[in-house]
Amino acid sequence: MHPVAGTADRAVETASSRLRRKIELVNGPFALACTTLFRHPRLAELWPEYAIQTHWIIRATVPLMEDAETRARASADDSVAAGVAAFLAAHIERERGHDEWLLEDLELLGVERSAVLARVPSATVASLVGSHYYRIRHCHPVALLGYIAVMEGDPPSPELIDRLVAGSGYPRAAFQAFAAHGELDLHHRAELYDAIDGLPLAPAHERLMGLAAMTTVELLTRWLEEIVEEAA
Amino acid sequence: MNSTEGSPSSEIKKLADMISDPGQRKAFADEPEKTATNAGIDVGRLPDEVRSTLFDLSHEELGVLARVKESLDQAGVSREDAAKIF
Repeated sequence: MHPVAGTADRAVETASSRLRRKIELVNGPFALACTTLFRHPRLAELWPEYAIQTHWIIRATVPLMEDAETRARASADDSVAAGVAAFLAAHIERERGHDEWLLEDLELLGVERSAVLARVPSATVASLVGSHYYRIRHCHPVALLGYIAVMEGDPPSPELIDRLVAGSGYPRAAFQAFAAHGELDLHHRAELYDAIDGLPLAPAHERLMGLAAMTTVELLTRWLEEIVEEAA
Repeated sequence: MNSTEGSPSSEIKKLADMISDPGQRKAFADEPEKTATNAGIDVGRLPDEVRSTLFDLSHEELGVLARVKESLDQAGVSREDAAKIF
């Protein structure tokens, strides 16, 4: 029997590959916003603000996952929720303390942690993070895997770190959090995809994860655009 | 005659325009193949990957996609480049 064209691709299609394709659908504007910021002629001025606002997002990572894990464990007789809880239990420990790295980086940039913590996050950041609390609590905790897929899906390369150091003039040590994510997220991403592909997902679960992921990309794009616009 | 007429990229553009319309978007989410065909899109010319991904999106996911396309249009990104997001 001869395979029909395209059959082989469909045979290896997985939930994680479908999720990645949904992210790719909306990723173009996000990539453009990243490029605009990272190659900005006033990068030295923009970078501390970017790092401060990144801290607003990153400090919510572990609390979000803890909330999702709690909700998932409370869902009796839900094998998807059980799988999500098992993944998150391990992933929480992998992500713990990363917000502290950013505060340390900011101190090297001359920004005191008290100043970072005193700032009120933007509505866009609150929407970005807050929408996941809603989906975790009122839809299904599997939604958070869509968020994690975006946040860890495209880690910064060593070349980008070099470019940022050169473009900003800041010491390499001030990019500790960014550089560490470049290394760690490659492993985390693989672990996440394995976890997603190991779940007995229904189409509704995949659509919820897809919506969470696509909305995350949309809001991250808006967030980056706002940082550049407000510096103009 | 437009040399791209009937090509995969022209069909993708038509699909992108269709999704921009709220009524069409809802119909597409419910019955993707029928709605696309009724809109004059030759679904057989869509790349398999594009077709399987877009035809599987929920109404809400299509809404995000439409907003992204609209923001690109407002930012003055060319229709050629905007179509690439699909």
